[in-house]
Amino acid sequence: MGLAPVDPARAGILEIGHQHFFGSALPSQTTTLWTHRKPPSKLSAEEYQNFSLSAWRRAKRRIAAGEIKLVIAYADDWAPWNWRSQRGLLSGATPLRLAGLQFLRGLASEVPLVVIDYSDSGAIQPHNQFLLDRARYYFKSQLPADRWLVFHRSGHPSLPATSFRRSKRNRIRLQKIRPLSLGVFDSANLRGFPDAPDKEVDVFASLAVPFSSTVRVEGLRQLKALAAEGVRVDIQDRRLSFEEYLARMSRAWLTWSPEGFGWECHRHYEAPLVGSVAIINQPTIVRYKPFVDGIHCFYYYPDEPDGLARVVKSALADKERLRRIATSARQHTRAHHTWPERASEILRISLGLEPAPGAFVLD
Amino acid sequence: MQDRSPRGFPNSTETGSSDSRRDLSKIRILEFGDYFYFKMVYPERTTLIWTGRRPLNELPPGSELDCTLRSFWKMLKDLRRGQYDLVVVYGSHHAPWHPRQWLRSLLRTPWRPFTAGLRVFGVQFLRFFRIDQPLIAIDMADSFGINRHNFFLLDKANIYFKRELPVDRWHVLYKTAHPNLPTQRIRRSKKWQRRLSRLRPISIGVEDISLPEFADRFPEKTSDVFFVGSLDNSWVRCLGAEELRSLAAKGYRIDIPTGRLDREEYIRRMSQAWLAWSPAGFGWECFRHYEAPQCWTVPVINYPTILRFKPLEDGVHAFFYGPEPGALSRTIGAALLDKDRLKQMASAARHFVLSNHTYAAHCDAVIAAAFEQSTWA
Repeated sequence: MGLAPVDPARAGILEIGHQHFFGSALPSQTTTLWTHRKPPSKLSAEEYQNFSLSAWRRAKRRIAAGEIKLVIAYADDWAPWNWRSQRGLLSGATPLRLAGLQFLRGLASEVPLVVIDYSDSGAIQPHNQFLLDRARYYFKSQLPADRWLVFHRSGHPSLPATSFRRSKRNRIRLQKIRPLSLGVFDSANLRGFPDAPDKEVDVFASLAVPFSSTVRVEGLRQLKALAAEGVRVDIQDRRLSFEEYLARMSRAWLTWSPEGFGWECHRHYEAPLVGSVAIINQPTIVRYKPFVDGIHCFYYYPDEPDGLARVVKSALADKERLRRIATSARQHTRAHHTWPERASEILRISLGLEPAPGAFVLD
Repeated sequence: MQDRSPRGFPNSTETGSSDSRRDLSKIRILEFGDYFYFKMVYPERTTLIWTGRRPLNELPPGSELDCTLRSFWKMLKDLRRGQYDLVVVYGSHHAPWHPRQWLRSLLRTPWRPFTAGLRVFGVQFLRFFRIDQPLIAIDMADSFGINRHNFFLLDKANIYFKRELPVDRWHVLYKTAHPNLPTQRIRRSKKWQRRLSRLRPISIGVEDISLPEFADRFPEKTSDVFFVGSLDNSWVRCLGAEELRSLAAKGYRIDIPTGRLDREEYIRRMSQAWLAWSPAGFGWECFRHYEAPQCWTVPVINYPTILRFKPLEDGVHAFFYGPEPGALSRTIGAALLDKDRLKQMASAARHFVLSNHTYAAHCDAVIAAAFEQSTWA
């Protein structure tokens, strides 16, 4: 991988897909080409362009002229030809806009391409797999511990077999895949919380349980049992406003943050930012700049009887330690897991100025 | 289609199956599928109807009946007459109509084409018949998903034991009942909630390892870490092998045989190590997780990515480490600092595995669950 030295503060970025992290964080450097079926809710019309042939041609001319030093693409869950994407045609999206990412198949090879895949699924969908051939890095938020599982029922009809894993092409593809945490998208709302907020409850839990992950169902049972034993548990089963949600979270020593559709969850990172310590079920994925158990958060085994209850009781036994954990978790989250601040870190990694976590060279 | 009561059990007035005082040591079992755990453990009270794509060679000749129309019909009649108390069915990974099943079966025994072609369809015949006895389905596939051809077993069975059961059980439907990750729409479905409530985890199971020379004493340890196995079948293994090589360069005694070991040598060398590295392979479950403790060796395993059956506890029976680079080295380095603790853990793990994860323990647990006499399920 030849990595040319590029000044990250001046590097032109072409951002293409259904997110706008770099457009928001580094607007003067970034051109955003929007491909989602719905328009972006947080950008004004001047801040992005809908993907079209003319916009794509202009972008290619800038790439050829050396103005664009990096292309960032956001992988989407559904192929543009899937009916779920095609619903966008009813609300004014053009077929070209929906298919925008597929134009990267013809991207010039001189500009590095970095892909961010924030899908809840652990797999890389077939319509995104061409990106693995072209990309320098493919960041995946729910990266399975055995990375070959990204091809489970997508690149392979079942569990990737040995012959599939021995293929040189597949091994090269796999080495480009790196973990990336979900993080917190808009950390501005999470500023202003004191470093050591007053605590009124022991555990805060506000999440959808009935039709979400089964980890939540079992955990909630244990939390209710704890409440009956006298632990102060704030369980919110109604939807709270974001402000109230954060305020209640900050008043709790611990925030229960079990996985939802995927293991990564915004709550893992929101809790430290408001001064609460997250309790999370053991990771089932490879993590980016991971929280360390007992240093930044607590993990529990969801299959051990009363595993959550034991960890909660043990954590609450030492409040001074909880304060220390909350402080170190906040620092770690601010440094590595908040957008838009992390955009420059990802940019340096993408330009080859810093190593990407999770590297490994297969024989 | 026959369905079970809300808890998944037939009404006791119809079958008497939930009699909690029943003597489980006399249960007569009909085993149906391409595994043979019960026939192996309780040969005298198990009838095995074989539906595998290859002839069964592991048991003495005559242990099994090939699934033919005649044997299937006889089995149904015997069930009606109450000659069995429990039916255990194994869901195959590939559908019988997939060429990997019927074609391979035909190629294995081309001189018996009709039997070979029909045998692999055996479990699917159950769709069309009512079974009054408690029915337990067991799915030992490496994959975390449940394939579509096995969905009917989620309706028929009282309990569906799934190896590699995902932490969020809904993931078993990934790209089978749902084109992607199951969304709230399918999670709200009463039918699917009922089906999923029958899922239980089960471990891979191992045979007893007898070490008579170490029955009353701890084996002498001559290496720090032992590992033998393929590095091709998991990224976790590729990454960890590199770390073990780095540890060896730092002076740790790492025993990684290059070739394949025979069973005796494998057990001998494993028992000579303080730790056995036991990373996930195609699935998280691995025989080595449970073989190492029987050899008085503490397994070092990557974090579980599944719900486990009678789980080994971190720091009590095993060490777990994260799949991120460097975590394995740190875990091994810290574990080897306290040899007395390792001795205690090895002893506790050995006792735990012999009580819970041998084939015999599995069979007993399944029987107890079927007759509602277990607490863990």
